[in-house]
Amino acid sequence: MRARARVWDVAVLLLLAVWATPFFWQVRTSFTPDSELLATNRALPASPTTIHYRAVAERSVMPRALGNSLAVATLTTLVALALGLPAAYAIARLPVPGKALLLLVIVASTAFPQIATVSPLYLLMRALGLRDTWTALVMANTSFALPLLIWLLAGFIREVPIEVEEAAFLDGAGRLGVLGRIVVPLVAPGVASAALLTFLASWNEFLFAYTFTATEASRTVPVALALFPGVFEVPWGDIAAASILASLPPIIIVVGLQRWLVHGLVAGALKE
Amino acid sequence: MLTSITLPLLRPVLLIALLFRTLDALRAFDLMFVLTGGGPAGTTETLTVYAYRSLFQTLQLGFGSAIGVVIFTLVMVVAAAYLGVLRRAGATA
Repeated sequence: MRARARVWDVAVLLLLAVWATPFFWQVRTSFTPDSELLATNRALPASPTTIHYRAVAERSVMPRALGNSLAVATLTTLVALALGLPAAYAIARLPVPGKALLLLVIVASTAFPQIATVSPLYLLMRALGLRDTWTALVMANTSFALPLLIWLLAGFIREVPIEVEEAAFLDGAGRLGVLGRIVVPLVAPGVASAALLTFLASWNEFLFAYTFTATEASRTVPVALALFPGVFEVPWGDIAAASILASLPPIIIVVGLQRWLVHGLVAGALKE
Repeated sequence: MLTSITLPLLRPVLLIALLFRTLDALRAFDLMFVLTGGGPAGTTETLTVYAYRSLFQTLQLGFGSAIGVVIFTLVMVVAAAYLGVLRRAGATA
């Protein structure tokens, strides 16, 4: 039985390795000098170099874009949590009229296609003077992150035993006190995974970032990556190095939050 | 055990996963736009790329908005179909 489990483990790892091949290839490309890029018959470059990383760090918009992305994704996550936690609590616990319909509309709006709203939103941002600012991206990303966030968090909050909250009320806590000091700590794994999903969605968001930004003042990483190819050449090595840098922060955050996430992602949302 | 107990019990979760993945695929934009821009000659042009190009590159604002509305309608039809199935599955599970 144990030998069989071992075989399964190896099979799963192999499958994951196949899945990650493009990523490994990107890592390889990022360390390969331009002259060797077309020699794809070698597994590793003959003379590895960090020249692409230096080029990206010194002569590209990537450092600025990484800063913009970090700021936009962090702000989006914070604003979405600040708005989403009370909303989720209300849906889970308070006698909101038409709650079932409201929840259905929230689930349905997670399906909303960005492309259908991008042109009116663009006009709106221009009228508000928010083009090429973090604020525009944070507002747009938050509005698209909120439905899923509220839906997930409401699922987690519903699992908290109501008796715990009743005990807090009996001790004189108000609604906000119960939410902040009792409910949020109890659903911390759920909050962590919902926050992570929001952060990653904002980090990877391309359409809004591409439309609403105009200069490096607010360009985020996906946009900067998309704008790398020049008119006469595509700097494959630089693009590879830049995209490796772009995937590091999410990986670091996921690894850092792992202990929390294992609880959060498994339980929740669908429990009755 | 897998086919007669585990999978039926997982049906609501699987349906939700299927719903989200289908809708994400319907709405996909960035990969096609960045990799090929819809080319060569429109062979990789999805509705979303078509809408974006109409709106922001050829500036046919009304036409692009109409495509956007079509995408929205498609997504809502798919979502409604899934939610209907999900509701029945949820009632029996």
